[in-house]
Amino acid sequence: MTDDQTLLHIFIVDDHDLFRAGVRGSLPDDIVVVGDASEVEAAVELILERRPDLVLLDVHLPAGGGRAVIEGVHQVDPAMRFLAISASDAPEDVVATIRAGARGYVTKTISAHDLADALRRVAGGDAVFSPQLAGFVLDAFSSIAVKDIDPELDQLTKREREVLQHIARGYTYREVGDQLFISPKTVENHMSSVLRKLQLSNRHQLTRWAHDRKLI
Amino acid sequence: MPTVTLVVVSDHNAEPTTDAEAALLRAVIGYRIVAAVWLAILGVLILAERGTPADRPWRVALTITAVAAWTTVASVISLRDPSRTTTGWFVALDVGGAIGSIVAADWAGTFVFAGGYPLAAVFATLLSRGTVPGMIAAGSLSITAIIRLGTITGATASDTSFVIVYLFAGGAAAWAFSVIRTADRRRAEAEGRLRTEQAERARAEEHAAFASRIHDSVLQTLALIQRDGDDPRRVRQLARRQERELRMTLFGSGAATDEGLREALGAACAEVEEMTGVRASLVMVGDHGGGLEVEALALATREALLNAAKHAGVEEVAVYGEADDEAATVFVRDRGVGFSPAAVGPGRRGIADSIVARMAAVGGSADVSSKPGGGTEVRLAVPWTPT
Repeated sequence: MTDDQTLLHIFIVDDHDLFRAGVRGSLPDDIVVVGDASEVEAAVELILERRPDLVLLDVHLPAGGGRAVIEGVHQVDPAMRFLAISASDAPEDVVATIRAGARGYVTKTISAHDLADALRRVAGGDAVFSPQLAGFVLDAFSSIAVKDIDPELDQLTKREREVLQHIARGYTYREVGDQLFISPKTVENHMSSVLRKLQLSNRHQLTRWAHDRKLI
Repeated sequence: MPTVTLVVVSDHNAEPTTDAEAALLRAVIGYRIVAAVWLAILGVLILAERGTPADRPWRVALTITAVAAWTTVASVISLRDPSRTTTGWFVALDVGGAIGSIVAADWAGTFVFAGGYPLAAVFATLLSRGTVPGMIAAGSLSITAIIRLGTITGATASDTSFVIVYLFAGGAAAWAFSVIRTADRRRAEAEGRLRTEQAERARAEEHAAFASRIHDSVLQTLALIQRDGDDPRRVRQLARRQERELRMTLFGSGAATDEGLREALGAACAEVEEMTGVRASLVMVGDHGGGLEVEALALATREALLNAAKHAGVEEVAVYGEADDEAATVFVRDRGVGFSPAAVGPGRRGIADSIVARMAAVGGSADVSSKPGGGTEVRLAVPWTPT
């Protein structure tokens, strides 16, 4: 195994120069930033050129937001993985980014250690739910009226809801496993399933959730 | 038969874009219909042999039919697509028909029974093409009347008066139209200026309000950070308070509701952060309006947070709240040193009084789970009192 294979290559998309520089400086040595971009068009082009292992993506970007980057890259490379990040965004924007294909969401107040961990997990194919994202998802699914539920997709199982609630309470996957007497791998499976439901479930219902929130 | 060459000049493109234009258009259509009825009545009187009978009565009937048909077509076109009334063929047919309605009298061998109908074409042309084409149309009618005087025998005073009637009525209408249009344009301009001024003023006020808010908050905070820069804890605290304030400014709900659980928990988190420097991050699912239960939950949450900040030895405490129509639950969790609940002496009244008793007073409950080294979680729950 060469050195190169043990390294994780990431790409950063964020319109704040300070943030990009800060992330570069705070990541451990085994995570290498192979490029960054501050706008949608340049980001799509460079990501497709450099093919990082994953992309750290700001939810809020001018001209289309993080969604536009995911959609642009996935047209050519549907396997590219994204971890969404933002300082503070409206829940509907975060959920829209996840629905566009991001594998997780963290806030910018995350510690460097936790960010590195989240990046490795997304690169490994896991779904990374911060407490905030777990809260947003519970909110979104709880708003779907019972009569509109597609039993396959529009409803979280009792177990998935439980897992989400623990994550929203600040538990790590391992801690959730200890609490619920299941393995961390099972927790991860539940979260991947939640992610899949979020991405595939009735578009109309979640759109209405987003719309209703704007009215509040 | 007299012939008249019609010149179509356009100096005005009249789209009924304003209320005044639309009103004028309706008035002209109305006049056209009234005038057609007027012509029909005069024609029917001739056919009924009241007054001068016609030599060729069926030509009178044909004229009435033609005028009725054109009036219908012209009215429909004017209502559906007024821009088509400005086209050359429409004006030519309209004015040609008006001339025809005058000379139809000689063609049928009777007195002029056109009444006010020819003026409908003059008014329509004035409206759709402007003053000059309208007056040319009026002139065409007057010239027709003059030519008639030269060709018919036994011209009456009314035959002579037609020469001036068309020009005078056309001129009067042209003046009236232009007065209405000028007034309307001035009003529209004044309204537009007023709107622009209002929009500019609103923008300026908004900018001033935003600038003063930024000054009161962000700039003040930056000044404090520069002063206290060597105290990392203080800097973090200032940054967090600023973050919360900005978040409220940018994403805060504008709706005026009584303080809900979300807002109350947010305030409790903010207060504890301010007091202790420990970060309290809130995740909230759903929301519910105020009342004693919200107050009790917020105060109990505050106590639990303070306990965690003081004793747990952590930098961050997680708060999770969920509320639906029946009940609310709040979890306050830290990853700190923890303690053995059984070992808590009677001297520590904080949890018992401030949290358990407070929740019990509103029919709720409080549970504390902790173990040494395993962090602490306080669970607060309360059903809403039915209202």
